[in-house]
Amino acid sequence: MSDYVPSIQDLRVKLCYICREEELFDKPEIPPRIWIHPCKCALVAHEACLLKWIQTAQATSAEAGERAMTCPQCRTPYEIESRNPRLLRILSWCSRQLPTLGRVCLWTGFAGFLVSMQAGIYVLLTGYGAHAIQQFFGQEMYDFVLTDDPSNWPIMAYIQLPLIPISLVVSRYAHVSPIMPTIIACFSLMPRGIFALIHHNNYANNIRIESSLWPPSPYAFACVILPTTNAIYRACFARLSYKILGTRDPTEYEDNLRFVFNADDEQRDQEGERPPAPAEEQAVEPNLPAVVPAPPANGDAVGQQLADITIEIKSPSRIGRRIGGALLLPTIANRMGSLLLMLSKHSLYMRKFLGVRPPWQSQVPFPVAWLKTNAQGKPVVPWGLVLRAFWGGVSPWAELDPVWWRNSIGFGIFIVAKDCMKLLYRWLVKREKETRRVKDRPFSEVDVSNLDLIKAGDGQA
Amino acid sequence: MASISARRLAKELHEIQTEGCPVGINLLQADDFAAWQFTIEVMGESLYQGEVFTLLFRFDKHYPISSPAVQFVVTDGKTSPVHPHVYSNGHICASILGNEWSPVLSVIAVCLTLQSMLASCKKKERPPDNDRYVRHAPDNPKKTQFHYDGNSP
Repeated sequence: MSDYVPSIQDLRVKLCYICREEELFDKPEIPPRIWIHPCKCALVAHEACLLKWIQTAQATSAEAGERAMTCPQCRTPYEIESRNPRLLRILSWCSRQLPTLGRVCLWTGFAGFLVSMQAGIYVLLTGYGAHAIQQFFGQEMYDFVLTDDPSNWPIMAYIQLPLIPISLVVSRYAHVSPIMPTIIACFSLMPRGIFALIHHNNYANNIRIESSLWPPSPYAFACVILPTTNAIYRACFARLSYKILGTRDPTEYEDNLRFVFNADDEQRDQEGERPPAPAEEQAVEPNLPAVVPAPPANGDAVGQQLADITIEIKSPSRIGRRIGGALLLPTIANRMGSLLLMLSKHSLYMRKFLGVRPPWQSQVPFPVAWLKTNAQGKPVVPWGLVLRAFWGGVSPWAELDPVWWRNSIGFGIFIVAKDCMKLLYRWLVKREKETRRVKDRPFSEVDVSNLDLIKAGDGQA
Repeated sequence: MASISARRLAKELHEIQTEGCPVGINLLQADDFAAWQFTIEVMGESLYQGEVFTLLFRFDKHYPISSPAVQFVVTDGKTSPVHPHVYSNGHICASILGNEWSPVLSVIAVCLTLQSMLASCKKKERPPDNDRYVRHAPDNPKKTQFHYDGNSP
């Protein structure tokens, strides 16, 4: 009997230290509840109460959970058995990693957002570039060089196309003709065309130089014709506007970009007038109507000198318009080109000038090449043909309807028309200012006695 | 069948009414199982000689698994003891009311702990962050995350 150890079953009265319910050994509860004695002291409890307490404490905090796993009185750790397979342990380890995972997700998500945003911008720029090519060079050329399926695009296109809108916008701020970048971009698209040439040359050995001398190839246009025409036009127009306005063309000033923002942009815009340089001021003044007294003119001059300082100030709205205008370029060129095509239906000379060709219908691949083989079968480089190709263009350029050419001409006409409109507007504004008069009125509604008038005798005094 | 919380509180109340409260503690009001009030004073020599405070216990339906919300009453002219762990709004920073609560404790056990907390006080002063705490304190002290510093009572 000495090694008799009583158990929970042997208690006469069991008192749950948690819910404080009692149970007498001779009055068992129905249904019965499990009692446990989990520690080394006298505290006993319902198993359900203890588990609930531990579970609640563990949910509150790790510290409270640990504390609840020991007896509040003797601090004996409770031992809990449960089905805790390796899978569950792995899963709970994973669950504890969730916050870390969440942080990782957040940051990768954020990074992904940034990347995809940039990717979106890239797609947008590339899409615009393709659109610009289509508009400017026509559907036929677009289908040949690019096509609607990006998987056909040469690798260079993925670099060059997004650069098109950027270079268009940049060109508005630099002394570069806006058409240049598009042409230059087009150069890069040529590898595919050349590849096609060489490929077809392998089995189509007969050499045909179809390239005519008119219209010139885009290379010749971009490298020779465009810069020359542009320079001559700028010089002529500057002279013309100087003759008409008596001042230099203010747009020349505008080309220098300064990122200074000015709030009164609109007002200056409406004025539309760029003040002349002080030296030219002298030249203008004699032309002013004699009726207008000197002071206003001087005041104007002061204002103009002040304005001279802020002459190149740009505003957000102006920048917006410039960017919008730059991006509209291919579309405008396309519309103007279509207009020219329409007009050319009535004129043979115009058709010749524009180099209008019927749609390309040849079933065989482009047969044109400028690689010639000599008697020994070795290729010789026909420099004459190279030059000719430079001017007249190689296969796709020479064969296809030169939409780009009439578009360029059309856009040139558009530019000239726009400049002329601007000049006309400035001239009208200038004339309005110069012809201003102040109307003189008699004292018809004033009490004459209040006026300090010249008396009859004054002259004699 | 009444809830576990109500049955346990009924038992505790029955014990108080039959066996009486410890010295210095008196049941003031226990009309329901939601809120009880006790008066508490420190017997013998202490800094709080002659001062009687009122304790408010608030129970939720998870008592005793969840601890009661305990605070000194500071309305109707009553004040909280000036003590480094008692804020002027009556809230008490005591670990047994927070993360050291155990269901083995009872209302009377809490009263006794708080009584000894007052009795062992060396200097009558408010907690250093009293003003800031009182300004932003929630109504229920259980919603405050007290930082219990080690050995200090």
